[in-house]
Amino acid sequence: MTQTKNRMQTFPDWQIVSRHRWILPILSILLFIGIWQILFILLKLPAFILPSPAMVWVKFLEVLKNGLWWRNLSYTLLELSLGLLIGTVAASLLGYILSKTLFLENLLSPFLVGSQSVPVVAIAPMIIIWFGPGLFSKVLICAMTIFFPVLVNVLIGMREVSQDLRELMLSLKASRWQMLTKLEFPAALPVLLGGLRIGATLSVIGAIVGELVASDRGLGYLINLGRGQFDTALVFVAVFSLIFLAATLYGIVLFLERRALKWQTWREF
Amino acid sequence: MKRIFLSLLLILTLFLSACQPKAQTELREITINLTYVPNVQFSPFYVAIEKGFFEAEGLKVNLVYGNEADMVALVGSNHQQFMIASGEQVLLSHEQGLPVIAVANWYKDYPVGIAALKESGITEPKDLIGKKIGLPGLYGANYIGMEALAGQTGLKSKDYELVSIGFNQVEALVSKTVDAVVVYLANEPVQLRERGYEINVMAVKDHIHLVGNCLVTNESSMANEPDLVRSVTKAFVQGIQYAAEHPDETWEISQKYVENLTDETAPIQRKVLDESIKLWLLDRQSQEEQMKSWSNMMQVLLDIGLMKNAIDLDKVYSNEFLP
Repeated sequence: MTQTKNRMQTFPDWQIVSRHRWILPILSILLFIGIWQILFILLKLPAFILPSPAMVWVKFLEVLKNGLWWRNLSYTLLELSLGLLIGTVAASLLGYILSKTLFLENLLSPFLVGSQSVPVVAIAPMIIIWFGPGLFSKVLICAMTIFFPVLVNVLIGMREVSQDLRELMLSLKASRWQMLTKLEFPAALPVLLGGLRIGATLSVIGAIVGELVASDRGLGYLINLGRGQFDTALVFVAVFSLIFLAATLYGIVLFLERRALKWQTWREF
Repeated sequence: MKRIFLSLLLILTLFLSACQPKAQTELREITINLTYVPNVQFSPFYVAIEKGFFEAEGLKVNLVYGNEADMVALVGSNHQQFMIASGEQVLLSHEQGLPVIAVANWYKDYPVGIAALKESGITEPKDLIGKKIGLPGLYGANYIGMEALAGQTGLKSKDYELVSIGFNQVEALVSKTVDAVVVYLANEPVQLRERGYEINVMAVKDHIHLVGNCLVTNESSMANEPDLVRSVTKAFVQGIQYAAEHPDETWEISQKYVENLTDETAPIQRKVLDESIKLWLLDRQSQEEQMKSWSNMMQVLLDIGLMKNAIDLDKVYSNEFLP
C-alpha cells in the first residue's frame, strides 16, 4: 500500500522530467561548472594549471572581441567541412561498390581494417611530411578519420535491404539507377546517417590532430599557442570550442536525419 | 588620325610598363620552416621581413610552423629549402641520409638547462642523484641536453629517473610531480620566475659546448642555388643583428606575428624575448670553436646511441654563405 502510494507520488515528477528533458543537458553542464569551481577553490592550484570557470569565460570574451576565436574556429570549421564532405562521399562510393562485390570486399578487407587500427595521430606527421603543412593535409587527415565508420555503415545499410523488395523491384524491371534511388538509398539511409553522426564528431578529432602537429591557424593552433604562452584559460576556450563544434555538427546531422527519415513514423529521436 | 593616336597610346603604354620598377614584381617566394607556433623567439625572422632585409635580396618569405623532425625530413628531401633546426637534428638527419646543412648558427650555445625549485636544495648536477627529472620525452633537444649534462658531470643513468611528462615542465615542477625539469633557458625559467617561483637553473652550456639552433638548408640548394642560400643567410643574420640591437622595436614588430599578447601574457613574453636575445650569436665564432661544438654534439649522440657511426663534420655545416 505504501509502495503504491510512493509510486503515485513520484510518477507525475517523472512525467514532468520527460516533458522538459531539454533541461537535463543544461543541468549537467551547470553541475560540471559547479564541481569545477569547487575544485578550483579547494585545490588552490595556480591559474596556469587549473583556471576557474570565470577566468575561462573572461578569456573567451577577450578572444571573441579581438577576433582570435572566430579566425581560428572558422578555419577548423572549413577543414572539417571539407574533410567531412570528401570522407563521406569517398566512403559512400566505396561502400556501395563493396556491397555489390564480395570479392572486392575480401580483397580490400585487410587494408580497411588495418586503416582503422592505426590511430590517426600516429600517421598525421607522415601526412604533413608528404603533403606539406597546408590545408590539404588537414582535410585529408579529417577525411581519413571519418572514412571507416561511414564506409562500414554504408556496407551494413546496403546489406540490410530486404531481398524480397529487391526481387519486387527486379520483377518490375527496375534499372540499376532506379534500384539505387528508389530502394537501396532510402532503405540504407538510417544506417548511413548513423555513420555520418559518428563521422561528424570524429571529424573534429581529425582536424585537431592535424593542427596540433603543424599549423598556424585553427583551434589546434590555439591550443598550442595557449600552451606555449602558459595561457591555460585559452587552452580551455579552444577545447570547449571543439566540444561546441562537435555538438553543433552532431545536431545538424540529427536534424537532417529527422527531416530525411520523416517517413519512418515509428522512429523516435 | 585615330589609328595614329591609338598607335602612340600603345607605344606610350609599353614604354611606361617597361619603366616599372622590377623589384616589386620579381620577388621570389620562399618558405622558411620554423618550429611549433609563432613566438617572440623567432623575432629575427619577423624583423628581417618587416625591415625589408629579405625584400632587398629579392625574396618574399612565407613562414611555416611545425614539428622540427618533420620539417627536417621535408628540407632533407628537398621538398622545402630552409628551416631552423637544432644541431643534433642536423647530425641525426645526416646519418639517416637526409643531406641537410647548417649555414648560419643562430644560438651561441645549447639553450637547454635543468631547473629545480630553490626549496628542493638542488643547486648542482650531483644533487640530481636519486631524483626524478621531468622532460617532454626521450627525444629532442631536452633529452640530449640532459644526457650531455649528465655525461659531463659524471652522472650515470641509474643515478636519476627520467620521467616523460610532455611539454608540461612548468606544471610538473610546480605541482612537485618531479624534482627537476629540463627546460629551454629562454622560456620556462622566465615563466616560473614571473609567476613568483624561486628556482635554480643548471645550464648545459656551463658544462659542455654544443650546437644550438641554426639556419639549415640542403645539399641540393647549396649546389644549385648558392646565391639564394647566400641571400637568405644574409637577411637572416641581418635580422638577428637588428633584433638584438633594437629590442623595443623588435618587440613591437613581433606583436604583428604573435597572437594573444594580452596584458597578462605580454610582459612575460617580452622577458622571453630579452632572454632569447642573450642566447643569440652576435659575433662570428672561430673555426675551432665551431668544430668543437659540432664534435661535442656528435660525441654525445654517439654516447647515448642515437648515432651509430661518426660522420664527416665538414659536410654538416658551412660558413661560405655567411655575409
